[in-house]
Amino acid sequence: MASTSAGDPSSESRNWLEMPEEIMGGMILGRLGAVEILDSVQKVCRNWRRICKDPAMWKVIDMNNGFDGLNPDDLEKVCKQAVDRSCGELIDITLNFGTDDLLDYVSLCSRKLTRLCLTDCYAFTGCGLNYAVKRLPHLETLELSYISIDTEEIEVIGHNCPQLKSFTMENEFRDGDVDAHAIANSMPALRHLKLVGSIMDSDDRVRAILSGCPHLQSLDIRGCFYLHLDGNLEKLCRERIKDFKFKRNNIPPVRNEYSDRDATPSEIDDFFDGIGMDRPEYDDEDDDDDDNDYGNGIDDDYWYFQRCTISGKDDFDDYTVYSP
Amino acid sequence: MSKKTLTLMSKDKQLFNIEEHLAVQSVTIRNMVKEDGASSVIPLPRVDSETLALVIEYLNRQQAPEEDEDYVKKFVDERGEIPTLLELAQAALDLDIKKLMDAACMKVADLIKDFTLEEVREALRIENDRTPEEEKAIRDEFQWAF
Repeated sequence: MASTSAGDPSSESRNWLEMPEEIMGGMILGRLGAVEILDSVQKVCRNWRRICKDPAMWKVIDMNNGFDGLNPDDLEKVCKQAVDRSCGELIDITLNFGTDDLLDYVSLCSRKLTRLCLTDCYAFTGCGLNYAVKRLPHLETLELSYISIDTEEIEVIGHNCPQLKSFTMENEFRDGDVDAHAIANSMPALRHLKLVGSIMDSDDRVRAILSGCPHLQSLDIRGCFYLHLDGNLEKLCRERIKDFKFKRNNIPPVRNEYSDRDATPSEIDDFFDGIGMDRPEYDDEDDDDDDNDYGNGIDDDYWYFQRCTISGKDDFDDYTVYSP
Repeated sequence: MSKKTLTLMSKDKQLFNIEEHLAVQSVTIRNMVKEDGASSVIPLPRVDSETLALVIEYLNRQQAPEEDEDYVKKFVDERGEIPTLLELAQAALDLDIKKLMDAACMKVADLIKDFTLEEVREALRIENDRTPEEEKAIRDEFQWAF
């Protein structure tokens, strides 16, 4: 061990359980995922079990990892356990599974919640979310990706969360024009807004956001592929908003009804750069990069990439596309 | 005029010199200097000499503020041993050097994230002190995990 010194016999038998709890608890163990803590960490010894019962460990709950071997029902139980243990101290939760019922449970028990992040789960609905946010008066950050929500519901959320300062909406083929209108109408206190994958092609909507959300400090619309801001408007955005992210001529990686050709490799890079993500890893030297062959590098990005890969018209028709 | 130097003493009584303007990145030392000028030796009863040498190295090699985040991350990455990192985290807690403590704790969390139960016990030399009854209670409580 690097820290073991010959002149200091005590370090050889150093008892790490004597570490100050503020380090071992909140700073280290609290950073692990909820499943890991409940399934593993708390079983290490009595002392850690006690630490794991401290509500301070559960101010932030991340259910985004530790999926192995657990079905959605079990995960929901784990999540409710974690919420129970926070004893109402929960301020930040990330869920990528679950139902409106779970959301209801979280919101009932967690009045102090300031950040709610729901990803990759169409089982959450705008209606359920609306019920939940009514009970969360301190909610400041809301991140939604790939959940079932319609534009009216976004507007209701805005009205129910007057403190909302940061909003992220990620979903391909949404009618971004209508969403932008709802956001501009209902979220006047926003400081940070990020829209990924929206089909927003009208400059007027960006103007609406500018006037509806006068306090914006950051606006990220790199993921809005079909937007072609006119020069004056882009200049205005850059003047008004400290951190303005916009990219012209983003082409999604795979042909759909909005683009008539496949993207080139460099355009695919641009795409992922455009939405602020790393390109999924796959073997560049492997010429055989058909849809199903991405080597072993299967990770979240891979699934993201899969979702972006709406390759055939038939698949595409499954999505509801509103026309502006 | 030469720069003012402070002397820190580790728990195994080794002395380390460091220039005052660098040492005051530690909030603990800054407060001491403010209070009494910290003319004498500053004892650090919970920090061993190897760890203190690391802390001094960290304080001495401070970068421009904008490079600081990367630097502290690299600094803890290079010291990937869990016991070293825990000592470092505790020293940073005592000396109130927040960035160093955050980075060291985050690195430990990263390292133990993928450990099995036994690996965690081994890495931290923790003995399983739970009685069979307690084992059973946990199993009953978390049946989904089995």
